[in-house]
Parts: sequence; C-alpha cells; structure tokens
Amino acid sequence: MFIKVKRAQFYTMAVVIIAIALISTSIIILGVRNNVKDVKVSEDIYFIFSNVKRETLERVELILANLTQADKSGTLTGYLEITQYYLDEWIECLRNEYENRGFKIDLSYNSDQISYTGYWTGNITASILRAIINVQIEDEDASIKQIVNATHIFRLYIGKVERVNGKLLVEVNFTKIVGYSNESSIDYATIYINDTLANYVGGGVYRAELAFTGSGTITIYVAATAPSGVFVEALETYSLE
Amino acid sequence: MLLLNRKAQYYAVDFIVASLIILGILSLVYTHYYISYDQDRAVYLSNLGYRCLNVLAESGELSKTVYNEDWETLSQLIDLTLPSNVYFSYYVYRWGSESWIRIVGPVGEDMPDNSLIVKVTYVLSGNYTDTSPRKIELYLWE
Repeated sequence: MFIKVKRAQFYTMAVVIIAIALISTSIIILGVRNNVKDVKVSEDIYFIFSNVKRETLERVELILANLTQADKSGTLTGYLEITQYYLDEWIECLRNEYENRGFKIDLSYNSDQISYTGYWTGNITASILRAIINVQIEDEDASIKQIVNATHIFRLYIGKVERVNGKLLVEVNFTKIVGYSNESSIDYATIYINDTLANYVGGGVYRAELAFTGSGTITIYVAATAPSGVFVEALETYSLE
Repeated sequence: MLLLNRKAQYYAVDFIVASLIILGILSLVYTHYYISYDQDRAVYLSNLGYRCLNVLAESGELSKTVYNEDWETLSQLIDLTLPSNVYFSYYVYRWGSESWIRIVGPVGEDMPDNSLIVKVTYVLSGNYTDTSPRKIELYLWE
C-alpha cells in the first residue's frame, strides 16, 4: 500500500514537473520572440536587378538631359568625360550599397561604345546618347547578367501644318526611344508651339491651333520640355497663300 | 527494499529521458512553427514592399517626391499602395560620394518592439536638377 502511494505520488509529481516544464518553455520561447525587434532585410536578387536596370536607364536619360542643355547653351566641352563621370558615380554608389549586403555586382561599360549626337536645325530635331552597359548581379543562389542597351533618343518633329477654319492647326510629335528594339515610349512633355501651349492628343502627338488669318510665310517654333529636363526644339517655315 | 529502490531509480531515469525527449520535440515543433510562420510573413511583407516601391518608381512618383523632399505625399502614396493592416516607416539617404547620408527618417509610424519587421530598399539614380543618387529604406510590419 505504502509502495503504491509512493508510486502514485511519483507519477503525480512527474506530470506536474512536465506541465511546469512545458509551460516554462512556451513562455520563454514566446517571451524571447516578443522582446526582440526582429528586422529582416529582404534580399530578392530579381527585384534588385530590376531596380538596378531601370535606374541605370534613368541615369543615362538624365545624362542625356544634361548633355543636351549644355550643348544647346554652347557650354558642352566633352560629352565623354561628363558621361563617364555620371556613370562612374552611379556604379560606385551601387557597389557600396549591394556589396555591403553580400552581393557581387558588376556594372561596366566600354567608353568606345559611348557617343552623343544632337541636331537642332530643321523641323526634325533629336538628342541621342548611345551607351551599352553590362549589368551582373550575383548572390549565393543566383546570378543574373544582361547587356543593357541604354541608348536614349529624344526626337521632336513638326508633323502637320494645316489651315482649318481660318486658323492654323499644328501637330508635333515628341517621342523617346530606348534601346535597340526601338522601344518607343511617350515622354509626357510640356510643348509650346509659337508660344501657345499644345494639347496632348495621344500617341506622342501634341496639337495647337494658332490664330493666323493672313497669308505669306510663318515660322513654326516648337519647344518641348520633358520631365527629365531634356528639351529639344524644332523650327520650320511655311508659306501660306 | 533494495529492489524497490532500484525500480524507483529506473522510473526516475525513464521519466527524465521521456521528459527530455518530449521537451526536445516540443521545442523543435515550436521553433519550426515560428520560423516558418515568420518566413511566410516576411516573404508576404517584402513582396508588398517590392511591389509598392516598383509601382511608385515606374510611375515616376518615387523619384518626384523623394527629390522634391515631399515626404507627406510620399507617405500618402505608400499608404495608398499598401493594405490597411500593414504599417510602414521609411528613411531616405543621399549618396555623398563615399557613403550614404541620412536626409530624413523615420517617417511614418513608430516601429514596434515586438513585431516582425521587414526592410526593403530602392536606389534612385538621380534627376535632372540633382544627380546625386538617393536610397529609400522602407520598413513594413503588421
């Protein structure tokens, strides 16, 4: 009898101890979990690659904007040095950001493949920066590499000049072309045609109606300012009877 | 009596071993459960963060608000992009030739001490008037 009581006490004790141990473990696990500020840094290589590629293209666009402005104001001294300066700063910044986080990043370009052209006379004007940039990002699990054609072209031309109901209807086309694929996109711009703000009608076309009732010659002057800051101008003289 | 003592010792050893096994298994189950739960939530939150920054970057709003230092509009845009049960806070840095210099932050909600927080970042390449890159660090939690 005495032995049975002892055994029963022993089992009771065992159950109590197990219960206490389980409760304590749960409290400790939850307590530790809830008292630590658990900041996870998310490292998705595909997102990073897409970010780097998109912003590298944006970087080339802003270089083109700066070159265009300097060129038009007559202060452009060396497009290659300026382009390299901006690209190198960008590459250094990305290296610092991602290599500190365990990625291997390689952004490189060949300066022989960089060229800039701007032409401003006539009814078709354009500003072009050609650049090819290698982008490679690696982590422990994946490696993504792509040769990015970062060529940017801003093109503006006077498409149509017509007399309608005693007014002069002028249409201009302003587009941005990126890369080899002639991937053309509309860069929403502010466009003035002979100082009259033109309305955007779609497909990169802007339209303005000018008050002109007489005859003779008229000079159409277009100035376009894109969000990136690129501005190009087109000029055409028409004879109207 | 000796036999009984021996039996008691066996029971004791049995009990200790069984307890250790049970505790071990339970700890594993708890830990595994919380790790996978945390991983799921972290992936969910980081996907939200990526999508949010991507949408704002593609539309040009991220660059516009960051370079104009319009933190109120940026906060509103982030708030609109995220679900209502997800909270955020962000920091913005400027590239200072060799390192990042903080220009604002934290902006948004106060970060809690007892929650899973996910950080996603986006690097902006500059704009026409300011060619210095910017970095936004977005912290998300539920």
